[in-house]
Amino acid sequence: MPKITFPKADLESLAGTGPLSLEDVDALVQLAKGELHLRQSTEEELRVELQDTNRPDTWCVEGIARLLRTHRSGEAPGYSFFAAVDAQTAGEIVVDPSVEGLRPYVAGFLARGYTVDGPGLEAFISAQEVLCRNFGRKRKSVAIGIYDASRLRFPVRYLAVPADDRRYAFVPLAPAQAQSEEGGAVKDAQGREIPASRWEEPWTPAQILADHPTGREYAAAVADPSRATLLVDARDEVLSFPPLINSRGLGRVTEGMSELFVEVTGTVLDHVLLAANILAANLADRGARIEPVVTRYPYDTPRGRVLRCPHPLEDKRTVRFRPADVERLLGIAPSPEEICARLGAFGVEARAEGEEVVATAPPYRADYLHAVDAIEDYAISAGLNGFEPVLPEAFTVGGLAAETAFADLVRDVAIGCGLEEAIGNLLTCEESVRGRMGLGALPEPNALHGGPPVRIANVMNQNYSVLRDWLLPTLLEVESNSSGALFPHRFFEVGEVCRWDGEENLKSRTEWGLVCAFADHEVGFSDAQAYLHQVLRLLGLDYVAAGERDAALAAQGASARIYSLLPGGHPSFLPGRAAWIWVPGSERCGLIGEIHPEVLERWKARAPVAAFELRLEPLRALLGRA
Amino acid sequence: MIEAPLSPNEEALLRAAPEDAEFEVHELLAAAGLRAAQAQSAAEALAARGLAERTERVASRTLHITEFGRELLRGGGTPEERIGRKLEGGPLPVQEAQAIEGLDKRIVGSAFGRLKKSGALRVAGGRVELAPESPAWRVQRARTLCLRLLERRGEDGLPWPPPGVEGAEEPSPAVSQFYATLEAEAVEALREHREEIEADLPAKRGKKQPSLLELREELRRSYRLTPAGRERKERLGASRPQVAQLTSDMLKDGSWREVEFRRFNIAAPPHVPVGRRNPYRAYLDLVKTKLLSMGFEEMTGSLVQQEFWNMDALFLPQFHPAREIHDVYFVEDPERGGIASAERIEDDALEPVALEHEGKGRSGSRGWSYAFDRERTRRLVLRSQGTVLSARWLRKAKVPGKYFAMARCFRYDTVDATHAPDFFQVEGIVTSEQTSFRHLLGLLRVFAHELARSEEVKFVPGYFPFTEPSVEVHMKHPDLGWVELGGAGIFRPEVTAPHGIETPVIAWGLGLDRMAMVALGIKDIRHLFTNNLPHGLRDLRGLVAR
Repeated sequence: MPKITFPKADLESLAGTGPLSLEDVDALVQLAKGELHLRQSTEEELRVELQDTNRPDTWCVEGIARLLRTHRSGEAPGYSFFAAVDAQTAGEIVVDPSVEGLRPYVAGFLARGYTVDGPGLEAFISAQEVLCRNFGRKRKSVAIGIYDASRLRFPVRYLAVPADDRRYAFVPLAPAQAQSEEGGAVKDAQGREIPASRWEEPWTPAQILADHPTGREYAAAVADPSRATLLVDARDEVLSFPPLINSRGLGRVTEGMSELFVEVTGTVLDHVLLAANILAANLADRGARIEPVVTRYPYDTPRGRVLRCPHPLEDKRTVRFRPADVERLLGIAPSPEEICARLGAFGVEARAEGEEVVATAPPYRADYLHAVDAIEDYAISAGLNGFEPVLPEAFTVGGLAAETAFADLVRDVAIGCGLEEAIGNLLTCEESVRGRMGLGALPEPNALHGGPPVRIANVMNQNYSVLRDWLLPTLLEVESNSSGALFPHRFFEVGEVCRWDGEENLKSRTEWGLVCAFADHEVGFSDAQAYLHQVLRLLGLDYVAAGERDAALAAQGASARIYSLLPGGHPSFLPGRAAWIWVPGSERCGLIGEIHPEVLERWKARAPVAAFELRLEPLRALLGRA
Repeated sequence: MIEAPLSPNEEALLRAAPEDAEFEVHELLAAAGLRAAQAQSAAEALAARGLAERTERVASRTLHITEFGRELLRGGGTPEERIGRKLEGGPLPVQEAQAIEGLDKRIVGSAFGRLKKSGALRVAGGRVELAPESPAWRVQRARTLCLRLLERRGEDGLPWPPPGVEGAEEPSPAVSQFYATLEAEAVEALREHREEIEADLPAKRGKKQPSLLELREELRRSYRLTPAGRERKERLGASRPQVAQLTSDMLKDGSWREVEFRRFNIAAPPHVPVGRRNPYRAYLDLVKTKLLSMGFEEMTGSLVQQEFWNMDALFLPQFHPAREIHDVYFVEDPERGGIASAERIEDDALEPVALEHEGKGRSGSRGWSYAFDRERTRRLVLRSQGTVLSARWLRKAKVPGKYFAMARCFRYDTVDATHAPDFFQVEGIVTSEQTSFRHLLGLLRVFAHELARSEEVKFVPGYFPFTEPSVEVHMKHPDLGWVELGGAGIFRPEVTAPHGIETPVIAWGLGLDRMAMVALGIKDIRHLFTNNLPHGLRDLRGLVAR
């Protein structure tokens, strides 16, 4: 979520509040779903995080101040330039067909009569950056440029040219580094220093993409690196190469200028228009007169071929609801007048129309998808702490899911056997669940662990690249870190594992398991077996020798509550000292044995370990049968 | 001066020891009720305290043949014997008599010299002859006899001196029996020539000549009480015997009445391995119990989910910035590479949800104005929020109903002291015909009270893509001051309408990790999980209700 920094004085002056304490600010920014980061804020400068990803108009000091101002005055600000459909246009942008497949949309407006000052320029750059990054997906869908309008000639053309076309080479803005007095070295893609004189020379778009630091940073936002989208004025002077960089000639704005041209390009038309509307409102708040610019397209857009900016986006702003909807959602029954008044104090135009309230959000907002959005605005405007909380009245019966209840039962049994509970993380590395356990990359699938583990496709850290598909590695890791704890170590985990299973819809199965491990100076199969027997006996299962299983099943039926041990091998265990745990219905419900010394060495465990692991699902199925 | 207390074993031995006679510890084992090793160390301890003195005496001597002696016998006998055997047939030239195969000339030479000097050989005119009746030759015969006997006796040796000689011990029956098997003449010879035989012992032979015999002595250690020991014993007599432990035998025979129980020496507590819950689990159990007591029913589900349930069903548009590749873990397809996809979306939920995104859904929402990607939605992710379960549960939820989940979730974040690789999220839904925002606030207030004993709460506007209105609840925590307890809201109609639900559904989630860390005294979130056993052994006092 976007975080912005701005001078407190700027907020106070825009909101017209007079001096505010940090506490005041903390409370007031909540209107914008903002959170003041107190530790990073001072009496001079505020750091605010904005939560509403659907309200980019709040991601700037002007937007926050506007909410405060409106809320105090109770009146929505009128921005006539949004409504003035017939107003004289200040200029035109003519779109060339060549941009259609690359970056098809552009919108712009002029801001006159506001002399750029320090805080205003800073706030504009901050809004531009935040909008491009968070709302424009790192300039991919929305990018913004601002120019000295006094020097450019309309109509502006928007066209695509071959990236290496020398006719369209221009002097780009140098990165801040190259502009600073210290003049830190700026390097190209090959790591060579770019000499200061280079910033005085023209660059082709291809050179900008290849070597200009900004070009390289945002190269991913360019649809086709061989074709450059350019804005040029009537004299063919280049304004910019959106979404990358402005020209130094027209695209450099400094304090003292009072005629500005703002343009937005992008791939999603309504996002382009919304961003332009937000910037227009912001500049208007600082005293600028906004003059619309018309864009002419040679192809169809969702809103036609001739589009004026700022655009009213009228089809996206209005919702209708009945006061009963408010009552149902909020649990209070305000009158339509009250609703309209509160919405007005939130910058929303609202009027009662028969049985309904019609609420229209301002054109710098595009978040009214449904009536609930306006109803929330009403609630916030009325103040959430004014709602009297009531308790849900309906009687409901609580309860655990069957698998959790069984897992808890097994935990109780293990604790009763004197074992200490551990809980491990589910995200681990392949080495842990395979290599260190003596298993190859693709072990023969068995009941305990599948073939491949569930792997992360976009790994951030190799230590967390797979989901554990069995539990024993978790306990061996604990043991390897526990040589300082007094022996004996007797511990367990009842936890979730996730196994790859190509047959399943979700290609995996999430299951519960029990693992118990025993480490001591001397420890063996029979130690683990004794505990296994206690655990299963307390769950109601009797031991039968492997050879007597058929007889027991014949006598007690297919769901006989019995278990048995079938000698078997597993690479994690010493040969001849491992056995599969059998229960009716599950040939391999678990595994028990002495951990192979090679495995212990790989885990750097210092004491022998005997262990068993059980799948809980087959056990629960067996015990749950009538 | 304070008298150091005796150990129980010392006391037992002192009680059993004779007041005025030498004793050996093995004689007292039964009386003291000790094992040999215990009695031995108790006796030494008494000696160290000056309560007993140690004496040593020779208990027995046995004569043994040395390895050198055995070697000679194996080679055909001692040099003296072999010289004698050569001369039995009559006199021989001196040179010839001394030519004995396999023996060092010097050894033969010195044996010849000794025989000659003792009178067992006579030399005349360059020839030598044996004097078989000479006393010296009789000694030689007795010596030879003795060596042969010793060789047969092996490690047992011969009790020495032989019986009937002055100074010899009263022979044991076995020794007597042994001597009885010998010819009387041989026994007599051994007795008579005892000293000459002993001349073969190292002490007599000096260093130059290897010895044929050795005498082994068994020393026996014995003790005698000192006057101080006698005095201490007397005082002990006045008190009853001390024991460390009451036993079932004492209860059976009533002997506990005659003993005194030794005072317990309180030292550092000994270690005993225990069974116990993991503290974080115990904390979560506590929360679970609270939720159950409030009538919440549990929801569970798969760790792997389609993007659909993780995001689309929660009305997060597919172009949303929080859905980039670096915001959620995708599952790899191990066969084809790339991101794995589910076969299908369950419950026929795909189309109604897709239509909501496109603005053509049942809720009447404007939607997100884009073409919903029905393929992408099947891609598999590790669930990033417990709300997935709430979304999946909407269709099966009863009305009225309250539901919760404690779901392990995964966030694409760098793992550090505030981010665990996976973590628990506690959240759920509440349905009823009359559910409203005010009920939601009421519920949050109960949570704050039940989970943190917090009376003071405040509500702050919040944002979640799937709820409207949304709220964050902050509470005054007794230890932390104002903290965020969680977020909640009423599900957007775009979330509920695709499942045919028209009543408002409360969705809530709690952030409990920070409170758990405070309760358990943990600074690093990773330590909520078990990395090693000492960590796991944190105490549980934070779980005691205030």
